[in-house]
Amino acid sequence: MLVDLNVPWPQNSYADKVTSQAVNNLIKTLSTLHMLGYTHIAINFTVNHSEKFPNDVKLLNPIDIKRRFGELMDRTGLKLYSRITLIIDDPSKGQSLSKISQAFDIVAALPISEKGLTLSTTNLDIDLLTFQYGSRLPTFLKHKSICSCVNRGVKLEIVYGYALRDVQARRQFVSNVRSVIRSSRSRGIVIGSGAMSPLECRNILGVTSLIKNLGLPSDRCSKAMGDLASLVLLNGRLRNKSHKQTIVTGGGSGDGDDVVNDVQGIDDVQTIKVVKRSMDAEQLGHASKRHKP
Amino acid sequence: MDRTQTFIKDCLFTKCLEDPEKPFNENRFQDTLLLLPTDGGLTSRLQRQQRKSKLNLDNLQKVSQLESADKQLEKRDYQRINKNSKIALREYINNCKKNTKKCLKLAYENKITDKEDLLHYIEEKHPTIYESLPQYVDFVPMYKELWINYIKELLNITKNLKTFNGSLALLKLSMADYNGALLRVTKSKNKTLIGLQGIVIWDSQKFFIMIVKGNIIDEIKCIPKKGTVFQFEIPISDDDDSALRYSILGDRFKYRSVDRAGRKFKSRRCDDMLYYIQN
Amino acid sequence: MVRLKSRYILFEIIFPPTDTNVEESVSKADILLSHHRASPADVSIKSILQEIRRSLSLNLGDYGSAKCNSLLQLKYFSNKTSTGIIRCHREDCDLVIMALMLMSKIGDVDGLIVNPVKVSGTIKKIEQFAMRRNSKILNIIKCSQSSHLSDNDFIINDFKKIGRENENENEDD
Repeated sequence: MLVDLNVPWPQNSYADKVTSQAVNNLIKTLSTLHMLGYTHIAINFTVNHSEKFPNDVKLLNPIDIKRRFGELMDRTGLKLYSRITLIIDDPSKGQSLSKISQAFDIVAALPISEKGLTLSTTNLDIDLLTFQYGSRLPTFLKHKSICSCVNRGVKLEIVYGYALRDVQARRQFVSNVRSVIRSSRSRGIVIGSGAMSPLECRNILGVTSLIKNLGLPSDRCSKAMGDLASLVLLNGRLRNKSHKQTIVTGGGSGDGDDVVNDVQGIDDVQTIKVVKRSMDAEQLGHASKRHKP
Repeated sequence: MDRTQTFIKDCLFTKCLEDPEKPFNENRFQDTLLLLPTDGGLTSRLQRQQRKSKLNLDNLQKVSQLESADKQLEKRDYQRINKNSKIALREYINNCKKNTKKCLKLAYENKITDKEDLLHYIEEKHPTIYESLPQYVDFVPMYKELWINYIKELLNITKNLKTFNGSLALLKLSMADYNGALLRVTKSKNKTLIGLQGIVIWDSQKFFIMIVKGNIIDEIKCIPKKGTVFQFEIPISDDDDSALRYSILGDRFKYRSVDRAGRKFKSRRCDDMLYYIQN
Repeated sequence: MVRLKSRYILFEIIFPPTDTNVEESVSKADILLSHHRASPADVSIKSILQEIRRSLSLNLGDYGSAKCNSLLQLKYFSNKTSTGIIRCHREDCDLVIMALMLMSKIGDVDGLIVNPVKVSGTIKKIEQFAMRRNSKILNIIKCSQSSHLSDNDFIINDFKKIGRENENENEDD
C-alpha cells in the first residue's frame, strides 16, 4: 500500500465556503495521485486551534467523504480518509481535542511557536506532527523532545509539495527537512504530498530520490510512504473504531476488511458493522483448509 | 538502563499492577479506601486453625488427635487448591493432546478416514482413550445456549439497531467474558494459524485455549494472543442472517478475564501491529 | 580495468487535466486516458535534454550539473507515447531523478509532470519493462472500452520496433 497523508482541503476555517470548482480540482488531484499508484489518501483540513469549533457534531467534519467522493472510491478502489491539522500558536487559547478527534480519522498538529511545539510534543493526543516547510521553523528542534514524541507513537511529516513551488520555499524546505531528519535521528518520518493541484503530485521513485538526497536512508524513505504512514492511519482509525485498541468493530478476514481498509463498511455514527453471518458452530475449524497462501 | 526487564513487566507486573509501565502509582496514596473481595473468611479460619495446631501447654494432651486433624488441614489449604486447579487444567490439556495424537495414529494405521467410524472403533477397542477424548459436540451448547445469550443480554441487542450505542458496546465487550465464544483467527504473524476457528474453553493470560472441530478428530489448541487477531460475530436475531462483527486485537488483550473486568485500558503506539493491515 | 557503470531511467510525461470547470469522469480507464497523451512537437529530445540540464543547474548548482553531465544521454523519446529513456552515471542516478521530479515545464510546454518510472542497469531490461507496462495499461483500457483502442494500439508496436533497433545497435558496439 502506498499512502499519501496530506492532500489539502480547500477550506481554511469553518466559516469559508467550498466552491464546486475547488472540489473538482481536488478530485482531479486525487485521480492523478491514483494514477501514480497511491492507494490510501487522507484529505487534510487545516484549521486554527484557537478558532471556535461548531457545537453540532455533524458540522465538525466539513469534508463529507461518503457523499462527495463515494463514486470515486467505488470506481477506482481508492481509500480516502479525513484528517484535521490544528495550527497551534498559543496553547492557552486551545480547546479540548476529544470532541474533534471523534469526527476525523487522523489528528495532526502544526506548531508555529515554541510554546506550541512543547505542548504538541508532550501533551496533545495526536497522530502526526507537521511543520510549515515553506517558512522558518518556530524554534531549533531538540533531539530530546522530538525523539520522546516519536517514542510515544507520534510520527513526523515531511511535505514535499513545498519543494515544487518557488525558489524561496524550496530553499527553506531543504534546510527544514534536514533539521527534522537530524532531530528525529531519521526515525518515525512519514512523507506526504501537500499537493494543491494535480501538477504537484509525484510518484514514489521521485520523492524517494529527493528525500534520499536530503539525508534519509532510502529504505526508510520507502517505509515512510508505506508502512509508517499506514501505521498512522491504523492509530487514527483505532482511536474511534475501537475501545482503547482492544476490541475493534469490523473483522479482519480476507482483503479490505480490517479497520483501516474498511472505509465504507463501518457505520461512522454508531461504530458498528453489520454483516451477513459467516461463522457457524458447525463449520470445520481447520486452518489449512481455508487459508489461501 | 532504567528500563524494567521485559519478562518482569510482561509476566509479573501485568498481573498485579494496573499500569505495568509505572510500578509505583502516585495517585494510589490519595485514593479512598479500596474494598477488596474476600475469600469468605477462609484465610482467617486457616490462620486460626494453624494457631490452634501449634504446640503449647493447652493442647499438649491432644497431640494424638492433632495428627488426624493435620490431614484435613492440608486439604483446606487455599493456595494449594488454586495450584491444584492449574495443574489439573494443564494435565487435562496435555492428556487431550496426547490422546488425539494417539487417535490420529490409530486412524492412520487402520486407514479410517471417517470421523464416526473412528469414534466407534476407539469406543470399542480403546475405551480409556475414548473417555478422555475432547468432543466438539459437547461444547457447542456452551456457545449456542450460554455465550450468545450472555453477550446479547450484556449488549442489550434488540432487532431495532437504531438506538444501539456502538461505543458503549465496545467498552462492555472489552470487559466481557470470552469463555465459550466462537472465535476465528483472521490475521496472525504465524500464517499457519489463519483461518482457525473454535470455541474458547479457557481464556488465560496469554492464550486462548480452544476446541477445534476437525475432519477426523476434534482437537484442543492453545493459540497465543500475541500477534493474532480474532474475529467473532454476534447474531442480531435468530430468524435472519445479519450479525454484528467485531475483532479482538490479541496484542492489547493479554489479561485474564478476571483482571480485565475493572481495568482501564490505555492506547499505546501501535508499531507492533503492522501485520494487522498488511496482507 | 573496471567497466563504466551506467543506469537507464525510464520516464513518462503526464499531462494531468487542469481545467477545473469540467467535471471529470472517474473510472480507472478514463483516468489513465486523460493523463496519457501524445506530447506536442515542441517536446523533443533536444528540448528535454536542455530542460534537464537547466533543472540540474538550478537545483544543484554548477557542481551538481557538471557532475551529472558527464554521461547524460537521452537514449530514446517518443512523442506519441510520451515515454523516454535516459542514460546516466550510476552514482548520479539519484540526482538526475531528482532533477526530473523537480521539472515543471519543458521548453514552452506547461502543465506536465515528468514521472520517473523505473531504473535499471541494462537498456534491454528497461525496454522489456516498458513493453510489459504498456500492455498492462492497454489491458485496463481495453477491458472497459474498445472505442479508444485505435489511439493507443501503436504503443506496443512502437516499443517492439525500438527494441529491435537497439539490439542492432548493441551488436555494433
